[in-house]
Amino acid sequence: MKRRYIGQSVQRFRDPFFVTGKGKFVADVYLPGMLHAAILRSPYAYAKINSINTKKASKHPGVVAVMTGIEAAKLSKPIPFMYSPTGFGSKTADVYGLATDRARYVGEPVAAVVAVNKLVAYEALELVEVDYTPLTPVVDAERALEPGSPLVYEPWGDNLLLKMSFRGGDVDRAFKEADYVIKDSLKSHRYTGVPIEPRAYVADYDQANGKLTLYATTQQPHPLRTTLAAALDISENNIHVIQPDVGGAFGVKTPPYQEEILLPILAISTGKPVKWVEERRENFLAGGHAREMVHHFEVAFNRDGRVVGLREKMIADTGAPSPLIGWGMAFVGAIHIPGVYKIENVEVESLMVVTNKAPWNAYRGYGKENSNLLMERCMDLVARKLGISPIETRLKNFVQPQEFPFKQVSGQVLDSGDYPKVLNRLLQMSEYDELREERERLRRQGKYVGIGVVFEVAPGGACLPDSYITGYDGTTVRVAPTGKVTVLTGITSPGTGNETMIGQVVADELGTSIGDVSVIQGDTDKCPYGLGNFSDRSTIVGASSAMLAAKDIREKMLKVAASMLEASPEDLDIEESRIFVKGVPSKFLKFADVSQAIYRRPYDCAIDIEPGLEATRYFRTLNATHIPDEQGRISTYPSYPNMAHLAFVEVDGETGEVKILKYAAVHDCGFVMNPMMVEGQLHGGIVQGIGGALYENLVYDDSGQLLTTTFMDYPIPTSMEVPRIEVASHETKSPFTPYGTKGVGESGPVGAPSVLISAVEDALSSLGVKITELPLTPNKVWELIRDAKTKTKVR
Amino acid sequence: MMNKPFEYFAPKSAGEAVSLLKKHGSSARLLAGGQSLVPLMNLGLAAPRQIIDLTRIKKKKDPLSYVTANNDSLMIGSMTTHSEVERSRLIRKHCLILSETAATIADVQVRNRGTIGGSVCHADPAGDYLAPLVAIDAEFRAINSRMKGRTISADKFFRDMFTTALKQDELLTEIRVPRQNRPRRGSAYVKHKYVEGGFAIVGAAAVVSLNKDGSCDRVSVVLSGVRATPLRLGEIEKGFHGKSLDERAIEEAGQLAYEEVREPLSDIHATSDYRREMSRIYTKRAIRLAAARAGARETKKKEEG
Repeated sequence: MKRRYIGQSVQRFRDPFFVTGKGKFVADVYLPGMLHAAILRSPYAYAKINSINTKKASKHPGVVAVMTGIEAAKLSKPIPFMYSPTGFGSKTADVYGLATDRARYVGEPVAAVVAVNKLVAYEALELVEVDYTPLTPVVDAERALEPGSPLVYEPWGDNLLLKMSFRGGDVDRAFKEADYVIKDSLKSHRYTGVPIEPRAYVADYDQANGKLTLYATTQQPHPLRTTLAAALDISENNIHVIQPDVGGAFGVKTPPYQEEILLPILAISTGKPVKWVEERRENFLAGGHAREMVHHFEVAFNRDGRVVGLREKMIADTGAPSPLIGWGMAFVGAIHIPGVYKIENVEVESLMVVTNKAPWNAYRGYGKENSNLLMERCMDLVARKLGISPIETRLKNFVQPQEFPFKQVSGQVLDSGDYPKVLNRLLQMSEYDELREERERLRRQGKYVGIGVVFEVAPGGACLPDSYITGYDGTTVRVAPTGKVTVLTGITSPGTGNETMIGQVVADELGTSIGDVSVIQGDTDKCPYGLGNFSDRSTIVGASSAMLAAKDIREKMLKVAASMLEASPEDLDIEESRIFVKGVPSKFLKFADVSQAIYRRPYDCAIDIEPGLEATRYFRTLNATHIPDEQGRISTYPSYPNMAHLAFVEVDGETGEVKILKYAAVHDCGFVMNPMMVEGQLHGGIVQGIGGALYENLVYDDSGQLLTTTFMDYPIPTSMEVPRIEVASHETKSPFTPYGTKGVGESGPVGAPSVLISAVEDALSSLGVKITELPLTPNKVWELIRDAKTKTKVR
Repeated sequence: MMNKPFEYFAPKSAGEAVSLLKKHGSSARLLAGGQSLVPLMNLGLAAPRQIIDLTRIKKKKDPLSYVTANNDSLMIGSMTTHSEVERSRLIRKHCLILSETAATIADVQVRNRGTIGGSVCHADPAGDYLAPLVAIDAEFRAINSRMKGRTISADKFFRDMFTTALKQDELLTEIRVPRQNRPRRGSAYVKHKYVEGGFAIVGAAAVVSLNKDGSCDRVSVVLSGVRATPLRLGEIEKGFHGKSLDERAIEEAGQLAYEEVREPLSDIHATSDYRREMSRIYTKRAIRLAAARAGARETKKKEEG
């Protein structure tokens, strides 16, 4: 097979539409007779809902329906949790489309108005009268664990959703025998992905046929369909979920949101299509938060820089109980300790705590950024203590290239990689030695400049037990008589272009032109049951299932072509839409000649094959297991894309502003399917990491009010703050996927915050500044400088 | 989502606009470029019952968007957009600080719609024009519903957070600024923001006039973002006449700023302590730049070095 498209920077199919404003998003869906919903949200972090008076709102001209939580709860069952509690041993709570007796975070939906248009719906929202009794909220995870804390969900008796832990080796002994021990803590703040397209849904219920259609900004159309079936008690084959173009997802469009259940309820009860498009403020309040964790850790190491032991306790503030998958980030954050390092004696405890803040949802990085913060912090602290280079601590502790597949203490199996090579290539590419001289030169001018180098692993292809976050997907390849190819796939695109990558695979495997391939995604009535978009999976399971289906079609076509050319199938090849006898390119058939023959000549040249030219294949990823090993460990991540980051920063000693002078990274996603798209993914991922480390912060006050609900208060980096980011790929193919791909979607935001901590601390090393908390806003960095200077003076 | 109904008026003349203001009283709001009012309405923080749109006023008959000059001053129509202020040749030549200020406001889209009059009447404490207009002793011309005009000096114009000296039936028509391109005078506006287009944490405007011998004649510094209204640093104005504006003097000015800015505003982006310290830093930066532009030798060298 000759590769014309795979491995090339093929232009993304949807780009011409997106850049000319012709994308079709949920907000662009207009159905005849469509009504509009507006959602009333709790102004309290914690309150008892005594009663809701809807009389005035119902009488408002143009209002069709007003729904309260109690009414909505009669029309659905509690929303099923995306992770089955049995798979993890977590607690669950009854959550409906609207809050019923209690509101547990500011922004929780408590009532909805449906009206003839959006304006009327929002007008009437203010006429809904809710009688609340405010309760004392708890807005800090460590406080929530203290005895006597207010209970977010009373039936539990405490605020602990789940505690998980694992242990490997002889930790106590390692700590006793180590040359040094450092005890420290590190805090990551709350921030999240902020897709430019907020959430939006249009629900349409066809009463005559009992069929529900939901247009949704979702990353998982099929699992959403399954969830709707269970919650609404509608037969799953009567539900149709359609995901049109998506304007960014980053994990935060993973179902099931309360609004995703609410909209179908509103459509069913009004008998009309109902649309809801989220306001930005609502997206900040209820669109899924992430990241907020405290790490208390101890690291034991020897004089030579080898880390021999690690104790970690992570406390995650996962917000209010929710069927969303956000809290799983504290699980995944735990199991990816110690990441790429070979540390045999490890003890990890992860506490997932509920509070009266917005529930977490998945966000690009999915907890691995927190394992990375911890591990890279340890490597820097060890280097500093020993006075050796931070490069050296990493090189000393890496899992070595000959050790793959390598089983970590948590049971996770690192598939492949060459960490020393990736790191060394970064040092070369970024001219590290020259950079260090530059640093000294600038320091002599009195500037606070610093270099950070960290290593990231962003495991992909998640296979979490008993859930729809797992390691398979399906693709149908269908060839029409004219030779045109339709591909239906279960993986979905959040706007990143993975449909193009699927097209590359199918075109090459069939030997046809990519212009003849059309890819359809995000439609549960058309596509095979698939799990959509998360965890780098499109190149892992998407590409692989597409390859399998295309190979089946190829085989069938070769068989028929062989009979037409009077040759043996083994002697044939397909290139550029021509099927020819190897070595005799003049003896050929056009691709469409053969497809047509299969449809028109089932009784002669196509007699040896089953009629039709369509194949559906599924691919289950290797290198994961849910059968516990002798220590009871399972392995849930099959793929370990990794990246070395370097940042060269200047800190303004007067204002605390951090300016990134240079940013470079070398990434290993295994085989690169489309270099342009990989580069784009890395740029985007790194920018989100920079945003999280330096600018973005979801700030709650003590009463649980979110203070950052606009982009004025939640600044995201613009092109003016982001430096030129130099990236390169170093391919170490995965032995567990057909093309050797490992995935790329979550790479970047994992290591970028770590590298900025490292670089900023290095820049301020002459002052002895120590960073224990993100984000590094100018105000915060200035405080660190001020405090360090005061301390020096006192001495 | 803007969910409060309002009446919309599109007067064809300034006179019609002020009589509408008179008629509807405090429930009415003037709409200029809409870059502050419309977001506030969208966020539910403002809900005027009447909107009086100034953009339909006949430009030929009753211009509100223009830049002209006489011997002493520039006259800027209140409906002149930030982009026009940024690019106007007259302003760039005679009042560079104002162009410089306009260029730091938000982003290109906002600057293309937002107007200087709208911005000063909104009187956001973090608004960029406030400090420089006070520093260069601008004057504000307004007409009332009886078509009577009056002039308000910048020092008296900004009364409180989001509050100006304009009366209910008054419309700001023009901003007059003294020409700044005099020998040995330099001015500068510098702004501390976190991301491009962000509001000023602290904004500092400085105007420096030097004597022939290079010593300081006058230095004025006005800060925005620290108080409800622009803060003129009186101690600095008194302190440097006849002195050399060298690094030590600038350091001293920074200290005076720090002392004068007690308990500034505090919010999620910047604590009171931080804003106070940034007042020192940005006062120094503004003076240094203004002094360099005025031709002060020593500071100029420092700037380049």
